[in-house]
Amino acid sequence: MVLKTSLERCMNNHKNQNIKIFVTGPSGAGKTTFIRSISQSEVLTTDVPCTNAKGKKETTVAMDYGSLNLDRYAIHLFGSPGQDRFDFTWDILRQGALGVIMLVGGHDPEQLPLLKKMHDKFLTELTIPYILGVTHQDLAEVWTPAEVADYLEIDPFLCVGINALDENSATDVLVRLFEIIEKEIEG
Amino acid sequence: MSISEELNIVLGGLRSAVPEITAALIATTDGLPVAHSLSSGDPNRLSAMAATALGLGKRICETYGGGEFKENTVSGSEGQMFIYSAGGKAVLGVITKTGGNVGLIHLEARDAASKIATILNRGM
Amino acid sequence: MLFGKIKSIPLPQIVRIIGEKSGVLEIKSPENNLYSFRFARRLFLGAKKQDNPIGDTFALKSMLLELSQKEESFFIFKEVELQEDDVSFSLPAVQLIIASLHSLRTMYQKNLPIFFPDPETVFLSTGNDPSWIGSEFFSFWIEAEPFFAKGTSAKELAKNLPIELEDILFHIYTLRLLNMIKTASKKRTFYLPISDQSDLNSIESHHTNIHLGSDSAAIGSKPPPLPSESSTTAIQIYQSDQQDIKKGLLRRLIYGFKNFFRKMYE
Repeated sequence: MVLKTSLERCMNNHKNQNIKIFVTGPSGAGKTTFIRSISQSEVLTTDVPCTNAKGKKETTVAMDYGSLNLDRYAIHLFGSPGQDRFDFTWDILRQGALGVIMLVGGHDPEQLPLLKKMHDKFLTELTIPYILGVTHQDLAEVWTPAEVADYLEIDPFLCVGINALDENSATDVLVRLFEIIEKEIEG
Repeated sequence: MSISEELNIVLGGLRSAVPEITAALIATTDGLPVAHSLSSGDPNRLSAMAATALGLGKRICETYGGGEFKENTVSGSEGQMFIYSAGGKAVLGVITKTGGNVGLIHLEARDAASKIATILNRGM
Repeated sequence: MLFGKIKSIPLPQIVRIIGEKSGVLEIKSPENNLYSFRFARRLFLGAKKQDNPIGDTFALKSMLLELSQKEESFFIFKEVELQEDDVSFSLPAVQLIIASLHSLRTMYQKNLPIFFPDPETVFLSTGNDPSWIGSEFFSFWIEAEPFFAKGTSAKELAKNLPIELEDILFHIYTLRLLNMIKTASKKRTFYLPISDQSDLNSIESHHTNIHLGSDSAAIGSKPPPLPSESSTTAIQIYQSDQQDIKKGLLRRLIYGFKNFFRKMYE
């Protein structure tokens, strides 16, 4: 299995067996769907009521979690809340994530400006390896991964298409992420 | 008569009044070529550069308190280029060989620049 | 397929994404007017409004202005090989980008557009030749260049230059499309995942390097992983330079002038 090989090469027999991956992207990018399609465990979606200093305010934050066991490794996928503000998720990211998966809906170009903002800010602030998944590749009218790479002005190798009709395409994103991480280690 | 035709007449008139002028161009202040009579060099690039030079000249005037910008001169060992502000929308560039009658060139080119400004203000 | 609304991806940016591709960009306004632009190998070949070809620079400029005000317009780029015989312009695409950016300016003042970068994103100079970018953008470049040489954000520029943040964001958007600046990406660092919180802190501070470019030794030598800290450090460096930068403006203008004209005669 490609995923296992790439993961093992990437981890290079390191003792740690818990791998945390953070999934983020604009609203409607398909974060929950992505985690559902990859996870072996049942996906948890938690709604947390929040209180702020000024008093009670009914804010609901949803966080997706799914996991995947591969041989002796456990991959934990954390999905960021689907809302416009993204700064606070950076703090969660810091807590030991191996890599970041950014998703964007290729069918909905109105997500692109926010994606670019997130991506560029991420580039200047964090040092974690990342990959970009472009969802909805099964549709006829869709931005291809190469076009999104042109839009973001990044290496097309960092952009992978995700097709809901193809079971393997979500896994391919993880495979590519591990390849990128492996390159980082070598480089 | 279209704006382009009118501008070409101005350029033609300038060149016949001062035979020392080897080429002339008109560009918009954002660097798009409008009309030119260049036989060598890239008119697109030169138009863009003339527009940038105009902006730089304006900034220098502002910074030393020189008032409203009128023209730049760029002299090389083989030739000279004069860059004139032609109203708020355009720039006139005039190229001559070194050693020309600068007084005459300025006289005719400033006149051409104000004609260009009038044509463009009327047309837009 | 490249498509969307020019509200989220304005014309200059579309032209930049088209890059080397050949084909026709069609833009349909809400009133169902069809505008089209033809491109081949980074050249802009011509444009039409409905079926009327755009004949000269001024018609092109007024069409760009018209389009920039119809932000609900929908665009689609159709990749095809174009016949060379139908050419009314033969302009480097980047000059169309500059002209359409000027038009865009009239519209952006209404509200802070979504396509502007985040004020805290750090940009670095690419070292490309600025002599053709046009007067207005060049004026900004002259003042901001020393900051971009070290890496700076819109927020920092707003503190150091007498220019409004919105204007700075517009210029950063512009300079980026013109390839004068790029995002300053940190070196992607891999660190091994760990579950223990106490280990985490030590490993993070060890592995988080800031790479903002060759001149950033002073920033990089401190290891603050928090963005707030790192930007404060950067701001401090710039503040100490600020006096010199103001004093040296005329000198730099003249210096820019000199280099500029040398380029002109190349």
